[in-house]
Amino acid sequence: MRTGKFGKVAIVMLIILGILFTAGCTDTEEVTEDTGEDTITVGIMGPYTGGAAVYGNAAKDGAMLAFNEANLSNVEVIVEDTKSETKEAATAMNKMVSVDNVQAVVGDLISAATLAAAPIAEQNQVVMISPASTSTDVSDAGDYIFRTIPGDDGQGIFAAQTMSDAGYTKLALLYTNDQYGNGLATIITEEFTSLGGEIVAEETYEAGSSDMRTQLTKIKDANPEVVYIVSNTPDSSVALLRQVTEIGIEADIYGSEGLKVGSILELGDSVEGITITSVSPESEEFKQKYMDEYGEEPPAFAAQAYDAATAIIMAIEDGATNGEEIKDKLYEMEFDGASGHIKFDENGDVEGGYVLVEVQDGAFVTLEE
Amino acid sequence: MSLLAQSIINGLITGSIYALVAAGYSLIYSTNNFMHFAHGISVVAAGYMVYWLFTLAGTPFYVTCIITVILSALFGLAMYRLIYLPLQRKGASNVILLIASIGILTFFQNVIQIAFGSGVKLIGYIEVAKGITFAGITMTLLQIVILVISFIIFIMLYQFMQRTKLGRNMRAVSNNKELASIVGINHIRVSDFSFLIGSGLAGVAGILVALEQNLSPLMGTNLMIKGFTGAVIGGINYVPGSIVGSFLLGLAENLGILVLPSGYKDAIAFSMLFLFLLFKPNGILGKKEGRFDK
Repeated sequence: MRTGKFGKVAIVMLIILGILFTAGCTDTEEVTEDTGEDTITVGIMGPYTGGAAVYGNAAKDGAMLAFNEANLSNVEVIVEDTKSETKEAATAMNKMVSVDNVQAVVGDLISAATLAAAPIAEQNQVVMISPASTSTDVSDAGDYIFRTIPGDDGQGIFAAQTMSDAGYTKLALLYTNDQYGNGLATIITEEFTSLGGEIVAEETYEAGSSDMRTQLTKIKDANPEVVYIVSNTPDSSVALLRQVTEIGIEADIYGSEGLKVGSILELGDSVEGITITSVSPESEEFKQKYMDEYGEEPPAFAAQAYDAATAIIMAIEDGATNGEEIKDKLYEMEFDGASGHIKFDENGDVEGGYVLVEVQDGAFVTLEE
Repeated sequence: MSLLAQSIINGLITGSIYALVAAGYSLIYSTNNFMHFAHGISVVAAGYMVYWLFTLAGTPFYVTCIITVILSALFGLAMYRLIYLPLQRKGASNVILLIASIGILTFFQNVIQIAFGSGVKLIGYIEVAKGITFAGITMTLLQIVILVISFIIFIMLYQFMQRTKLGRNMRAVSNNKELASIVGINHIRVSDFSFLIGSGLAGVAGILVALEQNLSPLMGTNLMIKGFTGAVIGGINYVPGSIVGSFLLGLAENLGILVLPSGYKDAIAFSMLFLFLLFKPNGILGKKEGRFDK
């Protein structure tokens, strides 16, 4: 056969690299030596590849910072990539429950992914604390499901009130066609109309897509005074804001916290003056710690993940040894975390606060409230 | 009125990007008769090549474009010579080659992610500004350039396929590989050229996509699915057909959501794909003796 040796070598290399890559995905990061019988396994899950990877990695870094700091001798941490996909979240949770015997998990980030994994966690009495899932449905996901970020009701009501207070009456909504986008849009619509405003256009797009020209054309045609954009992937955020300028929408632009990613600043002058509703910023102390460790400012959700990990650590330090005991401790605890005051209510939610962030001179500036 | 006109233009812009992907894909399909899904990664790799050479290394833009197209063409040839051809020589069926192509796509998506990170990359060659408004239609200069370049390329491609010896050989192999071999056409050589030209086109598509949209490692899958859909609609084994099909797809998506809620955009595309696969598998312009019904 004339198949060159090189061809065969290349195929073998591809296979080996493939195996290495897959192996690299489920790396076990042991914090300390396994001390035997009473080791408690804690998981971190989130999108480390795929569309939401930027947020996932930030959250993982934030959580790892807390675990490394606490350096508990009886805790082992494992990491699972859920690839920004709902079904992967269920798979990862199943694996962690049945193979690794985890008692508590920090994650997932995407609301739909958290909700897919939640029933498995609930059934197996495993605590789940999401640092980023803001869908209102997460409140009712179960006793074992917590989050360190306030739900969409908070952000939606805050956004609607802010825009109404600023004197806008004609609002256009553009949001991702998923749990997060639909949830937030519903709340804004209810609140904004009850405040006397009018929704003049409502358009959706698939998360991660980068062509929204016709949606924006329809919005332009409806002549709104203000457009509120809900985005949770950087791809779409950048594409959207670029096309808003290119199509020539004159209305003021507001957006959800998903727009607060560094890459939109590269769009230059065209994003000046965009206003983003965002959860209250992380504490200066955490910011410093994160910068010392990773050499950059903490991206969105890093502080919330740090707090989620801290809550689990505090419960374990307090003597909890399994999921059920951790859950009970969580409902009792109260502390000032990196992202704000943490006190879980009966739904496992935190209250949190919001601020407005504006793009000024190519940087995100938090406006004084 | 301007809403309709603007949507038609939006559809043409989207369609031209789909068509650039579909043209190369369909050229490779028609001569090789297997699904080269890794074509999507050629487009993405070209986009990242522009980012690397132009944005990071500061190479002049036109030099960057030339290097990118040449490297893309060679990248395509390498995929054929190092992976597909050895598999074919071992007697691999087209299904195996399809799986191999998905493997290549996934593999290089991850390589790009490791090399450049998962964040969004912007080329930054053209400053973002409001487009030119003419008769109620707003278009940026780049979008006009994209439309013009795609039309020029499609005309050149058509002429090449019809007029040159190599083009005729490609059509001959596409039509009937055995018969072409009997009359002395070396089908491996023809395949070499189809991968070179098809992937070179992917290079052009990559440059334009990088300028018009942004870069992210996983964008190849979506581009490939839309390019494939466009190709099926127009006729996957006939290059001009797949170009027409891609424009139709772009128009259908953008005009469709004028009437339907915009969440149905992808549903429109896939409904069209299913309808064509069921009722007209050779597409609008595809040849009757196409492979789908064999």
